Amino acid sequence: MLPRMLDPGEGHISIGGTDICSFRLDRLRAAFGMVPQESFLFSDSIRANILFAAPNLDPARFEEITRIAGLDRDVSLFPHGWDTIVGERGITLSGGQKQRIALARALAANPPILLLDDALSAVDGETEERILSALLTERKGKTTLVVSHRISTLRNADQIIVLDGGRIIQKGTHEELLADSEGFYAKIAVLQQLEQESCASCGDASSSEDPGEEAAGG
Amino acid sequence: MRVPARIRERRPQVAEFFDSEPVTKGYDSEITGRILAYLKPYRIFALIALIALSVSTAGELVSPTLIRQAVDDALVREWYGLDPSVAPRFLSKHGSREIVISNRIYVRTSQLAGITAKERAAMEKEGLLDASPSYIFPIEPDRDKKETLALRYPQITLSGEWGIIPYSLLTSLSPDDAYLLRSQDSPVLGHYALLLLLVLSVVLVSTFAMTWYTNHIGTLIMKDMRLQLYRHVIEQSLAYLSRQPVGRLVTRLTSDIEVISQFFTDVLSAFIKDATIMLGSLAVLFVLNWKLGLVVFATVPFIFVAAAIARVKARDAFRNQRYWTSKVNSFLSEHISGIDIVKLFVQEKHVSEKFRENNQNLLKANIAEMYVYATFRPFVDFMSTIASALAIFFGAILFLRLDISIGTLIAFINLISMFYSPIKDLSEKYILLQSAMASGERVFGLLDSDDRLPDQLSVFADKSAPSVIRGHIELSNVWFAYKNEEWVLKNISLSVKPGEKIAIVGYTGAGKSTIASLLARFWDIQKGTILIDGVPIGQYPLKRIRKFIQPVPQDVFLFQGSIRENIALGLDLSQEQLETAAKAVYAHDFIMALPHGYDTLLSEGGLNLSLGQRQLISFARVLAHEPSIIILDEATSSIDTETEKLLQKGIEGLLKGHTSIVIAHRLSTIRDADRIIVLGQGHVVETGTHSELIERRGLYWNLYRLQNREME
Repeated sequence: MLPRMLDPGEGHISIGGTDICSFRLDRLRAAFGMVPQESFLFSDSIRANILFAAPNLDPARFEEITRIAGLDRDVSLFPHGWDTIVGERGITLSGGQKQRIALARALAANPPILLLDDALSAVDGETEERILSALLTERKGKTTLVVSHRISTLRNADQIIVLDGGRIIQKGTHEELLADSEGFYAKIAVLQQLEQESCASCGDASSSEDPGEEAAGG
Repeated sequence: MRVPARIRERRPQVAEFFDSEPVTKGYDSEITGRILAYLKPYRIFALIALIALSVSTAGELVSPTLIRQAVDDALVREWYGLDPSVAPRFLSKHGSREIVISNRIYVRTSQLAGITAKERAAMEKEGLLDASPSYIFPIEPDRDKKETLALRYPQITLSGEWGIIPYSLLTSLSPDDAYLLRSQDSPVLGHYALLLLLVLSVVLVSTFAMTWYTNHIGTLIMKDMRLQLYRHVIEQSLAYLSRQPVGRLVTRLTSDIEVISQFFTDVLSAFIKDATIMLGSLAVLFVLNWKLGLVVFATVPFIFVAAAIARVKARDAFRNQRYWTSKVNSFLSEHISGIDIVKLFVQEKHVSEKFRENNQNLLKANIAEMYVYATFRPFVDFMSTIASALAIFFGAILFLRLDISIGTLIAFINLISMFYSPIKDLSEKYILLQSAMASGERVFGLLDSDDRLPDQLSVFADKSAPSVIRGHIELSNVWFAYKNEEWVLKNISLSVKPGEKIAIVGYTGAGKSTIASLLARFWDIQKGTILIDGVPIGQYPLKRIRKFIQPVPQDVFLFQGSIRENIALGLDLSQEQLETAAKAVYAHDFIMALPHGYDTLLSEGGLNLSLGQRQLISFARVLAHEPSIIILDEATSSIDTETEKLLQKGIEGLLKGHTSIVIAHRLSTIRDADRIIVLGQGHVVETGTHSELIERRGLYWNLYRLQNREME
C-alpha cells in the first residue's frame, strides 16, 4: 500500500506529514526501494537486473551495494561474472542469490525508504547477519521497513510492530516486547530459540512462513 | 508447512519460460532417421500412399501425351502424298496409318519427322513428296453430298472409297461443308476426351488417397509421439520435473510434435512427388523427342543455382523473423508477469522504450522476410519462365522444321510447366524441413534425457516384491535436500511399528511434509536409509511403493470427471467397493445427496464442492486403493468448525486399522496419536505422547500454548 500499488479502503497514509495520494505517483514510487517476497528477476544479465532502476550507476557505488547485498562472494561463481544471464540460458540462481540480487536492485536507486518484504527468507543465517549489519550503516538516517518472521532479523529494529489477523497487537523494541512474556512476540521468540537450541549443530535456519506475525521497524 | 518449496515455486521467479529457442536447424540425417522410424507401424499405409503417389504422378505425366495424340490424330490430320519408291523409310511400324490412293502413299506429318529440310526440298522438287498437305476423308457416308461438293471444287478428287482435298482449301470451306468432310474425326476426338477423363479421374482418386494416407500417417505418428513423450515425462522424477518449466514441456508435447507431423504431410510426400514429377516429365520429354529433352535438361543447372540462392536468403530471413518474434513474445510475457517490479521501480518509460526497440527489430525482420519473398520467389519464377520460354522457342523451331508435330509441341509445353513448377515452392518446403529438424532435435532431446528414480531391485527381482507389507517404517540418519546442500532434513531417525498412529508436528519449515514425500519415494535421500519392513525403500519397485504407501496431500486435487472416477482413479471398482470406501470416511451421505450421486461431474478443480467434501473424496480415494500405510498431510488453511468436525470423523475412518503418519498442523487432531514426533529445523526435537510432551514443557508445549491462544 505504501507505494500505492493498492489504496486503503479507509483511513490515510502519509509520509512526512503529506498524504501519499497528493504525491505524483512516479515520484512516490521512486522514493521506495522495494524488495518483494518473491524476487522476480528478468532474463537479462545480473548487472542489468541490479541496474534496472539506476542504469547510470557509478561503478564504485555498484561495488558497494553488491558488497552490502553480500553478492561480492558469489560473483566469482557466476560463469560470466556480472554479465551472466539470469535464467535457463545462463545460470539458475538459488533462492538466496535471487533475493540478494533483488536487494541490490532496490539499493541501487538509493531510495529514501527501503522496504524489505520477507526479503531474506532464503538467505542463510550467517549471511543474513552480515547483510543486516551492513544495512544498518548504509541506511543510517534513512527509513527502512523490514517484514519478517524471524526474530533474529528484527532484533536491531528501532520499533517492532506485531500483526495478527490484520490487527496491530504489540508495538515496541525487541527488549520491550520480550519483557511481556505472555505476549505473542515473546512466545514466538522462545519457540524460535528452542528450535535453534535443539539443533545447535546446524548453523543455518530454514525458511519460515507462518500466518500471523509480521513486524516492522522504522 | 506446505508442499515442498521446489514444487510450490511454480510461478516463474526468473522469466525462464520465455527464453527464445532456436526454431530452425539444418538437415540432420540422424534426426530424419529417428523421425522416419515412427513410420514403421504404418508401413502398409505408407506403401498405399506411395502407390497412390506413383499412380497420380503417372497419370499426370500421361495426360500431355494423350492430348498430343488427340491433336495429331483427330484434330490436325495433315497428310502428305509420297511416291511408293521413297515410302518405306516413312512407314509406321504397324503400317496402319498410311492410306494408299491411286499409287500414291499418304502419310501423317509426324511420320515425316527425321528428314532434313534439304532432303525434303530435293524430294519435293522431284515430285516424290507433296509440297503442301492434304486432307483425306472416306466418301461413305453421305456420298451424294460429298460428290456434289467435289463437283463444286475441282481440287477435290474422289478415288475409290477415299476423297482428297488440299488442306488449304479445307480451312477455307464454310463450316458446314468442312464438318461434312471431317464428320469421321469427331468420334475419334470423343474417344480421346473420354480417355483423358478416365486418366484424370484416376489422378483425382489417387491424389485423394495419397493426401488422405499421408495426413493419416502424420496424425497417427503425432499421436504416437505425443503418447510416448507424455509417458516419458510422467515417469521422470519430481526432482527433474521441478527443474523443467511447465510451458516448455507443453510446447514439446504440442507444437513441436505438430511441426514434426508436418514433416510427413507437407515435406516428405511433397519431396517425393516433386522429384518424381521432375524426373518423370524429363523422361517423357526424352521419349517424345530426345532433342527436346536435352534442351530442357540444359536449363536445369541455372534453375538450381537460382533456387539455391533463394533458399539461403529465405532461410536467413525466416530465422531472423522467428528470432525477433520469440524475442518480442518473451519480452511481453516477462514484463507482463513482472509488471509489479516495473511499476515499483517506476521503469514504465524505460521498459516501453526497450519494447519499442524489440518491436522495431521485429518490424525490420518482417519487412526483410517480405522482401525476400517478394524478390526471390519471382526471381525463381522468372528463371523458370525464361527456361521454359527458351525450351518452347527451341521446340517451336523443331516444329517449324517439321521435326515434331503440333501435338508434340503442345505436350512439350505442358510437360515443361510440370517440370518447373516444383522448383517454385522448394524454398518453402525447405523451411518446413528445417523447422521439423529443430523440433525433432528438441523432442528427441527430451526423450533422451532420462531422470527416473532408479530402482535398485537387488532384493526383489522385478515382480517378486511382496504384495502386502506390514507397515514397519524405519528412518535412520536420514539427510535430505531438495537442492544442493540446503538440508531440509538433518540426521533424522525414527521408527514406526505396524498399526501405529504417529503424528509429526513442528514449526513451519521443519521438514514435516518432506518426510511424507520421502516415504512415497517422490525424492531419493542423499544420506542415511529408509527401510520398509526391513528392506531399503529403493529396492521396491516404484509402483509398488506408491500402492503400499498412500500420501494424502494437503492440496486436494480432483480431476474433471465424475466422483466415481475420482475415487476409483483408474481402478475397476464395483459400486459396493466404492460405497464401502466412501462410507468409511463419511462421504457417502453427501455424495448421495448430489444430483447424480456418484456420477455427479466435478468441474475443474472440483469447485462445486466444499473444501471439506473435497477432502473426504480424497480420503475415499485413498481407502479405495487399499494402502498399507497412510500418510495424511493436514491442510493448513483455516477451516470452520463445521468442516473441522466433518473432517475429524473422516480422518478417524480413514486411519482405522492402518499404519499411519499424520503431518499435523492443528494439534487438536492428534491428541490420541500413539506417538508424537516434534521436528525443529530438520531435526527430531522431542517424541512422546501428548500428555508426556505437555509435561515436558518443551517445544510441543510452546506450540500448543501458541495455538490455544490463537483459538481464543
